[in-house]
Amino acid sequence: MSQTPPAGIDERSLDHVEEWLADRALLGRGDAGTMPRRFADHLDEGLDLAAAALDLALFPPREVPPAALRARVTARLREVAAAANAAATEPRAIGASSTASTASTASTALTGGFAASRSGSTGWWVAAAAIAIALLAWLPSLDPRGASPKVGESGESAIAALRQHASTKVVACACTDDPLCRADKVCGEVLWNAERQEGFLRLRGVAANDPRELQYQLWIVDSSRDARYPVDGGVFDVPAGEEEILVPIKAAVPVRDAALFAVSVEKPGGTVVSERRFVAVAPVS
Amino acid sequence: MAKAAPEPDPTPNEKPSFDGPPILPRVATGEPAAINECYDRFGGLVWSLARRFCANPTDAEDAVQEIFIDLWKSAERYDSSIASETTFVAMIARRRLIDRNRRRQRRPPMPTLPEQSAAPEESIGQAEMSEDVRLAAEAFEQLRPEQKQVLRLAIHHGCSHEQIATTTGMPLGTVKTHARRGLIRMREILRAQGKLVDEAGNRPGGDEA
Repeated sequence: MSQTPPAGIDERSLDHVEEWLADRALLGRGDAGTMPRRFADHLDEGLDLAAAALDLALFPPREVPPAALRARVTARLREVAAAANAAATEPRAIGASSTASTASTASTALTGGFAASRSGSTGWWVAAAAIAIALLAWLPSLDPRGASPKVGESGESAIAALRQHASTKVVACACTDDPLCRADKVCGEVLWNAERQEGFLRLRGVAANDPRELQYQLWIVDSSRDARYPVDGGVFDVPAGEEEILVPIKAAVPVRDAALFAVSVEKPGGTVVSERRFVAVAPVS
Repeated sequence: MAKAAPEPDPTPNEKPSFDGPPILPRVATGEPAAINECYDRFGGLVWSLARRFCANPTDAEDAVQEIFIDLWKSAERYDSSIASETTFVAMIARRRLIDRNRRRQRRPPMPTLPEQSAAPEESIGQAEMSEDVRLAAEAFEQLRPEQKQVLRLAIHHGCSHEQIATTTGMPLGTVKTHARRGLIRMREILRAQGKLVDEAGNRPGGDEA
């Protein structure tokens, strides 16, 4: 090769680096093996980009993806974006209401300090908190080692295991006045263990949904985070004929101080910005 | 090369379009509205690559999803002074597709006379591609015949060096040399044209062909 080696690398080493880069561009990282760290400064993506440009030049993309793939990919990307947004707010949330653990305290956190640019996406959390506070007066306190859930055996055992932990919180889930929630006030419970970052939502009396039209989405208000950005707890369905369901809580990011769980109705695949239609809320007391 | 932004929800038979206003910077900032636009812009490109690398449509759909997640996470690395968005997306896609094939310990079926399976001269003229892709086609024509043969097998079909050696009858070491020098030559030509720069901003001249 006639190219002059960059400072700090001899010609033989440069050949080695170029060979490694070419292998990476054509065969993938695995085939290329491991490059010594001392060459790290010389590992640009020029050959990868050259291979990509050549690929497109030689074999122009002409295929059109299936129409259904668009919804699937964009829904997944929204989940990723939601997680990234939540993570991005983490530094701002440090020191803010880190000890808050009641719905009342959560409400204080939710109603203060809204950024004007995001006020449209935060107002509904104020509403959620208000509902939660109103429900506190009559929601029964639940024994963490109370009745077993009427769900499948695997769910039973998982919940039983979670209940054994002293740090597991169990809170009642209350129906809103949305017609999709047909239970009489209490429509289930939330079990949440912050240490293990595990939890379950048991829901009953909530109408079955057609996943092609709408889905339910769980949200978690974390008092240790910026209240404008609740944590996405996952999207789920209520199958027809199921009076009671058990939903594993899949928090997109770590939840340190859960203050409120809320279930909303969203478009298929869930959303980053909620439609603000609640069917159930569970304030942590 | 700037064109109007694609429609947000293209019909299935609409021809894919890859040019348009920059979108990766918006992806990098996590702008929710950029999700659909990003897919509409590059879905056809990614899908076409995935179909070529994957054994069946189901695998391709899974791959497309993984690629867009990679793209979402990598968008902040994109530098418009180094390459076009189209080339950057294709690089991310190729990387994921090659890794998927490696993980599954199987490669696409060996081609039968693949060097003539797609005539570059015909295809290039039909492509509505970015400038660096057009220049890549021109640069490719400047390579030695054996370099072109090896790169076409490696890039289009994902063939390993060993598979190329078997297909062409070249010694394994010769295949590796042609692949490396051909690709390096491509990079140098593109850099000389100002369409690819290294991360230090250098545009070195070409070396041996």
